[in-house]
Amino acid sequence: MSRLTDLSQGFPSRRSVLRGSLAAAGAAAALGAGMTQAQARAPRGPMPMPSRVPQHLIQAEAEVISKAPAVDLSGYTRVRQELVAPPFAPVHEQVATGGPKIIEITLETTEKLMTVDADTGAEIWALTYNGSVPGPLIIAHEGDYVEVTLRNPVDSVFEHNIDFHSSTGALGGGALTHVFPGEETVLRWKATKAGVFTYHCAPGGEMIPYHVCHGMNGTVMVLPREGLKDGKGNPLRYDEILYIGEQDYYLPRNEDGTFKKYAVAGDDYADSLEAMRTLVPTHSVFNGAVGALTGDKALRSKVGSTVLMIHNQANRDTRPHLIGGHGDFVWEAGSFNDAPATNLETWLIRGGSSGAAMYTFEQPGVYAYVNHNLIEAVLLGATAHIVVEGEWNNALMEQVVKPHSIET
Amino acid sequence: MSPVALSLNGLVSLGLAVLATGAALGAALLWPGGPQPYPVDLVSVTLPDGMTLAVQRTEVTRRDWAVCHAEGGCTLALPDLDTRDDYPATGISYVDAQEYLAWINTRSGAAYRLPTKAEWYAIAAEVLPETPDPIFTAPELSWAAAYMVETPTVDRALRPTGEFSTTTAGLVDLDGNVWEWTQECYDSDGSRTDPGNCPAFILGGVHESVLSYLVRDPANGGCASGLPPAHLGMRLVTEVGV
Repeated sequence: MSRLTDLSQGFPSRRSVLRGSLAAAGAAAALGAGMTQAQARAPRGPMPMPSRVPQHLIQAEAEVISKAPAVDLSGYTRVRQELVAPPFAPVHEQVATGGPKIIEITLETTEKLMTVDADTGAEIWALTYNGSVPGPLIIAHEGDYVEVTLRNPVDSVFEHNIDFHSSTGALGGGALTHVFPGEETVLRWKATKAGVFTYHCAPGGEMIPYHVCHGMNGTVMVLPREGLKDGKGNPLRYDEILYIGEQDYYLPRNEDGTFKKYAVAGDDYADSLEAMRTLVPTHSVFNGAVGALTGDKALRSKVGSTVLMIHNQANRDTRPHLIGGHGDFVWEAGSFNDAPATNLETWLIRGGSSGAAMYTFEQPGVYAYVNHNLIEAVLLGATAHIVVEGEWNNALMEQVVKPHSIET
Repeated sequence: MSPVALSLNGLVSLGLAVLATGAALGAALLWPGGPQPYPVDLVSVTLPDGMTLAVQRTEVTRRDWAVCHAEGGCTLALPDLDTRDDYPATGISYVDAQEYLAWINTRSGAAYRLPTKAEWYAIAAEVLPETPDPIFTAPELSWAAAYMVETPTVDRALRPTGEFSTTTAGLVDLDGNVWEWTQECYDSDGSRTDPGNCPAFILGGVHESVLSYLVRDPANGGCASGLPPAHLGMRLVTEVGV
């Protein structure tokens, strides 16, 4: 612990120098390092005001960075990935063609009022990447670079940044990407490890769980260049991706149990932290809201189609289960370097990670993809439905006798 | 949870005991001066069989429910949902509905009850949407055929009484997002002849629903066999005669 503290204090990022102790305190908190109460508490208010960094200081920062040996990017092709809202995936190749790429993406940190559960009127001033909870799915291949422009609109309340678990160094890029309202930054990181990984906001101190529990998290998928394989080296291909972000919300309540409403982002700050300390979420939802993937918003597929189900939970353990189906191939911990487990009923997604499961539909009908803590699935909202078309297979299942009264 | 909801027998006991003694003992204890009318806005509706039924114009409101709770008739206290009194009372189980009926009948000396399924659908037919085509037609998929995928039936957010459709007779909100308990026991093959021993009742709404008598909130998730109702409430009827 003390060593980590020493490191964070001995090698502060340029950004933390520019900002005084703010970012350093956040970095230390992110590392779980010990720090004084004064460091941890002093700088943080519920509504940090934008502080413009003089242009010459930003240039100085770039110069410091450039003192490291330059990277030869001449063999790389620049491509732009247009991100799409979950539960869908951006256009991508399963098997990489051509040489390695620099994949340009843009993430805008949008703060917006979102309905969590229309039944109860529960709502949250969500903190988002590109306006959705979870943030968009980002896809690269091993060996590619991801070059992210992180943009914080001028009308935001909060400072934001991004920590990519798929990247290496600088707190996952978190230490290099702090942007206050009206700022933007560019970070490039190399995808050296194949798998599905969480990304999330981590602006420092208690702002870290506050931002994560307000929606700022998502998944990066780094595919092997030759695509996915089973444990014997045979190629595995999917027809579609179902990208699920499971979000635990801790919404403050009034005395009678109803949910509080707030006029602007950040007004819930103190109440939220108090609710989060209970570790008992009021909601655990897929795609940001109760019922976001059910009913008229249910997903559609067909018998014979293979779906890759990517599940992100940046904060809390969860246990996906496909009611009526299975996980044919499951990368539970997310690494595509490991052979997938096969034929699982339920798999664990550790808090702070993404996992992936592949399934080929064998029967038509309605499937429920749930967190199989069924309290969370049914009472807290962690349910998605998939309507699958096709021909019923009696060889797999048949109703022999319909329910009727027992003869007495 | 209501203490009487411990078992089916408990439910039966509640219904019989309170209904039987309501006019005499209950009224004497709670209202020493005898029955006191409680205002219920009734509309006369002629049913297809020629019978006239007096039907409550609105669903029982939060204001009504608060009176029942304050007078000790209704166990359930409704939370302050940041809404006005003129919203429908929701979060009501069949047991809660029976408590309300026992209370209002005892208090006012009336004979209100829940509608039957046939009565409810006769009353509501003109404002109900057409039944959507099933998404599956194969007999093996009848379990999934009623799944609602085409359009959201109604916005799930609660609205004040009267903001959904009005029937020719003047009844409101039958096509709203509150499903109303009927007294009709779910009966798959006509064998369930004892109405006092019923595990699940039919609810009237824009799609027919069957729920355990204990359910107050048909949570929007979990099982894949369809979308549950949004909210559960009730509406009074009383028989007028032919």
